[in-house]
Amino acid sequence: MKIAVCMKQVPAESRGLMNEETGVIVRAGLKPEVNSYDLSALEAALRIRENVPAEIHVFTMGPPKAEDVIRTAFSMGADAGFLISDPAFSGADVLATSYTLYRAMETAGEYELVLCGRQTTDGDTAQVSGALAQWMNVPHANWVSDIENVTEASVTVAQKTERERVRMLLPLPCLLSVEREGFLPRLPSLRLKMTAGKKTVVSIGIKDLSDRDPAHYGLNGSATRVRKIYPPPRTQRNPLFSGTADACAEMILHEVRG
Amino acid sequence: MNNRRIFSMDETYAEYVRDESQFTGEAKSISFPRSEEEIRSILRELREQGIPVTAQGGKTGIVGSGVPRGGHLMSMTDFSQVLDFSETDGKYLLTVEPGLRLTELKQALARLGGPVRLFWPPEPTETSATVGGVAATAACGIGVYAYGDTKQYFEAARVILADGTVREIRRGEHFLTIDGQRLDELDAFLGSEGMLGIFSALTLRLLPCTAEQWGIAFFFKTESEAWAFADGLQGNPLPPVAAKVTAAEYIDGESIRLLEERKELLSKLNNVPPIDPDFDAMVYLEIAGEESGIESMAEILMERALQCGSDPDRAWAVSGEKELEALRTFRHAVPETVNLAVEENHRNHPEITKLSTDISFPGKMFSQVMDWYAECLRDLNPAHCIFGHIGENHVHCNLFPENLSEQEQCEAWMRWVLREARGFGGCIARENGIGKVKRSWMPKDDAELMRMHALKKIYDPEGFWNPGNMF
Repeated sequence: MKIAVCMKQVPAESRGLMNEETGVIVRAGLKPEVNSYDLSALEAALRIRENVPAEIHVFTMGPPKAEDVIRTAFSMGADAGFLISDPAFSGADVLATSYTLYRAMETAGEYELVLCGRQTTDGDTAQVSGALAQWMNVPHANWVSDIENVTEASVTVAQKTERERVRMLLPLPCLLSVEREGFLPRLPSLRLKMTAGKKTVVSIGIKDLSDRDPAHYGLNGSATRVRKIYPPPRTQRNPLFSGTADACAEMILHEVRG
Repeated sequence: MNNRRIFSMDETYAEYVRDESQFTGEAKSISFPRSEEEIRSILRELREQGIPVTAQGGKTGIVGSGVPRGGHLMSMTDFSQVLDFSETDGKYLLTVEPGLRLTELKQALARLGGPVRLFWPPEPTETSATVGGVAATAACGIGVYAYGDTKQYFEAARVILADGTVREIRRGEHFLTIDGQRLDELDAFLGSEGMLGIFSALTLRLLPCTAEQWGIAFFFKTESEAWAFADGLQGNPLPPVAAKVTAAEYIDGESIRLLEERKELLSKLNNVPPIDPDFDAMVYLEIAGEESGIESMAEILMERALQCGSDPDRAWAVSGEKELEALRTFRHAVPETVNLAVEENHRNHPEITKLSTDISFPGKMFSQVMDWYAECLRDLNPAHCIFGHIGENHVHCNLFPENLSEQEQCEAWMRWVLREARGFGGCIARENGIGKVKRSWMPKDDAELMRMHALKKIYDPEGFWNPGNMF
């Protein structure tokens, strides 16, 4: 089985700074790290491979330094890594990001299973996984908290929603977006970390894709533009509401509206 | 009390008469000075009334040094500014107020900016401790393996003596002769548990950070395998070419199990995977230097660990600040979990206190020291765990009595084992201090105690500062 895992490099902290012209988060000067949700996605893939024969391929989209994500993935046990990097991909929103991932994954063959983390800690949209599944025309499930069984044809998962736990059977190929809980990522193994630096990372640029129209990628290919990024205003008020759920909801609404 | 900064003790301040040792004291009044002038003003009034003073830092001590036994309690935690930074000919100095916590120090170092990133080598694992507390106990951190004794990383101190005099003491400027031994005056105050004077400023010597740093955790199915690995680190140290081992820590199986049982209580361990219950010991190492040097060193260590029975596929290896922090947090969680367990027992039996050795054995092999501990513990009933620094075999054996009878048994054991340790070549009070908890365990003729008696006569003959510590 071939499993693709999408992983992203994100700033370790966000100061809420935005390029006013493009609406893109300013990442310069911020220490990078692997999106913690995506580490759980990789962990989910590694656990599947402990039970069924599988190859795990990691895809990361970002500037050249995002290669560190692939190296981390190698040190945890990924088999192959693809860095999707090109100036044309820069500034992509959910639509353009998911399309770029779709076209990039096409170059590496077909995958029975695609795993994503629930969201990133910078964009926080939690929508790329669903959009990618749409491009790939495969069924997908979000909020996956457990992968119970994997066969050649299907995968059984548990999905945690607000009020209930749902068990689902999805045919392969499919895409799963996983929750952090349930997939606590392993720490890198020493032996794998020693070899991670020597493994080949495949670079994918716009010229490698079947669709090379720059209008479909990056800022140009984005359907949305961020207007503003700002931290929520801090307040000294700490009201405490008590009562029935409906009464409290009314009070909260009143408080928020001012 | 006339001074508006002196408050009468009441229930509001109940948390201040106890520290992590679970030793509980009492005080008539408390203050939270924010400047040297405030300290001196408070001291003037207290001296007039003959009221002794206990200085307290972050309450993270484990021997009750900062817990008052009557008199006045002076909490230094509001006295926590960064005062000055200087760089001269590659020597980096940072002057801070003693109440600055180690977490705040780290943030201050990050804010310095500049072309060279700096760190302070002592870095004890208890990050909520204050710099003043570190100075008072000369506490070590995991960096002791490579960077040595904590005292050398204090360059100067401002000290307020019992008579209100303020002394500026710089390393290498003034020396004392105590029992025929020459002693830098600054070193007289470091590790003195606040018994000679109170720090109003401390100048720290910083070092440049290395280019890269890895943290590696090796797991062993038996303790003897881990001991053999540690012996190798000591007997056949890796030459520091482009990289060096900067930390070497041992954690026994009981410590690991204690931690795994209480992991849910420590949210900062949420990112650390569970440890296989098959493992009975672990060794945590840090390597710093150039990446190529680190990788070469890691390869040698991996081979050695394999020869000692550890599976390198199951060893953890991390690099990068955040990942390294996760493993350091794990290492620190061990004493934190021990303290939690002691606190649980203390709630059921208030006479139970922290019982931990703080002995180093320079010149011995690690397995020799662990065999010695095993022999000493053979007939002792209460549970125990052992963890600590492989360098100088400076491990801490913690005991867990569950009732008064076991507490008394353990205290007797402590008194006995300190004498045995001296006979075995050990230095019996290395970094945690003696305080109130351990003073009854110490042999009366201990050289360090005798030295403190002599210093106390010089600097505080009337016993104004931190009464009840050490003797």
